Amino acid sequence: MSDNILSLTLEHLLLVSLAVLAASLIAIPTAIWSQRNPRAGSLVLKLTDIIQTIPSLALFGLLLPLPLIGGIGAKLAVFVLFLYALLPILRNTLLGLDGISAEIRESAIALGMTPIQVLREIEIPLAAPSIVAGLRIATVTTIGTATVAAAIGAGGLGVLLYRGLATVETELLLAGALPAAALAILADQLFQWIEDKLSTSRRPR
Amino acid sequence: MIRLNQVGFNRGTAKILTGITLDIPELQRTVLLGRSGSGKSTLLRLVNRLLEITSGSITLNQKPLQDIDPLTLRRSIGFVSQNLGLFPHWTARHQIARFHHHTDSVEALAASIGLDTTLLDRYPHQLSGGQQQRVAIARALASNPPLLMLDEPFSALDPILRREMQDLILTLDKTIIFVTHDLREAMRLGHQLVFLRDGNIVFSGPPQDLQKSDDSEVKAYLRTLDQ
Repeated sequence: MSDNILSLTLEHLLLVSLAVLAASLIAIPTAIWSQRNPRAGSLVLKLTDIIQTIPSLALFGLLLPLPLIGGIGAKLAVFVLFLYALLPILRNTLLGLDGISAEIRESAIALGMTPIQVLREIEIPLAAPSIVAGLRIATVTTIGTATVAAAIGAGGLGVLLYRGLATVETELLLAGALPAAALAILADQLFQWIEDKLSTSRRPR
Repeated sequence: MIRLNQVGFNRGTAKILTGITLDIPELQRTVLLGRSGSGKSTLLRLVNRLLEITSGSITLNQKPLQDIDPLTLRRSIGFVSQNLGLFPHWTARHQIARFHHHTDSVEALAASIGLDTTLLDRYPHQLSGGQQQRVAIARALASNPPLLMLDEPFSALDPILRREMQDLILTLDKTIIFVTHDLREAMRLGHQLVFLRDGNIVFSGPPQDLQKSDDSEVKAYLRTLDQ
C-alpha cells in the first residue's frame, strides 16, 4: 500500500511537472510578445481565460475523442493540465512586465542596450517575482486538478481518491487526499520562498 | 557638433515640434527651457533617436543622424531622465560598470562625481535622492560620451542639493544639452538658452540676451525672477 502511494505520488508529480513546464515554455514567451502587442495580447489573454472557465472533467470529455491528443491516458491529462496552467503564468508574467516603469525601459534603451539586452538584463529580472508567483499558482492548482486526471486513466493520486469514493473507504480516500494536499502546500511554500528571495534587495520602482 | 535644420516632429496628426533650427556647439552647455508640453523633452529624444524626426534634418559632426547606427549613437550620448531611470535590481556599481568604457575606474569616476565609493554596493532604494542623482550622472558618463543630455534631472531636489548638483554639472568638460523649466537653473547653467513655446523656438541666444525678447511667455518667465 505505501509503495503504491509513493509511486502514485511520483506519477502525480510527473504529470504536474510536465504540464507546468510546458505551460511556462509557451506562456512566458507569449506574455513577452503580448506585452509588446497589447491588442493581440488581450485576445490571447481572453482565450486562456475561456479555457480556464471550462470545468476540468468537461474538458477531458471534450478532448477525449480528438486524434493525437485524445484517448485514455496520461498524454491527454498532461495536455489539459497544460492548458489550465497557461493562464496564471501568462497573466502574472504580463503583470510583472507591465509593472516596469516606462522610464526604466527608456533609460536602458537610451544607454544603448539592445532589445534583447533590455529583456534579459532588465525586464526578466524585474518581472521575476511576479513570474514565479504565476508558477506557484499554476503548480498548486495543477496539483489539485491532476487528481481528476485519474478519471481518464492517467494515474496519479486521483486513482486512490476515485477508488476510495467508489468503495466508501476512508483510508483509501485519505491515502490519496493527504499526499495531494501535502504536495500542494510544499509547492506553495517552495515557490513562495523563491519569490521572497527574488523580491528582497531589489525592491523595484 | 549637432545641427538641427527645420526639424519637425508629429505625433499622429498633432504637431509637437515645428521648424526647429538650432546649433549645439561643442563643449558648451545648451539649455532647453520652456513650460511643460513645450516640446523640450521631445527634442532631446530626437537627438538620441528614441523618436524619429518627421521632417527636416539633424546632423552630428556633419553626419546625418539616420546614417548613424542608433545603438552606436546612443552609446555616445550620456542620458539622465527626469526620474533617473535607475535599475532597481542593480547596485550602484553595476549601474556604472555595465556601461563602463572609461579610462578612469568605476571608483575614480564615482569619486569624481562626488559619490562616496563605500556606497557603490548599495541598491538605488538604499541611497538618498542626492546619491541617486550622482549614480545616474556617473552611469551617463560611464562610457565617456562626448555628449551628455539631461532631462529635468534636478526638479525633485531641495534647493540646496539642487545647487550642489548644478555645481557638479558646471565642472563637467562635455557638450551638454540640459532640459529644464526653471529659469534660474537655465541662466546659471547655459552658455546658450533655447526657449521653446508650443513646439517652436521663440528665443535662442546667450542668457543675458533673454531680456531683449518680445515673446509674452519669455516675459512672463522673466517676471518670475523679480518675485
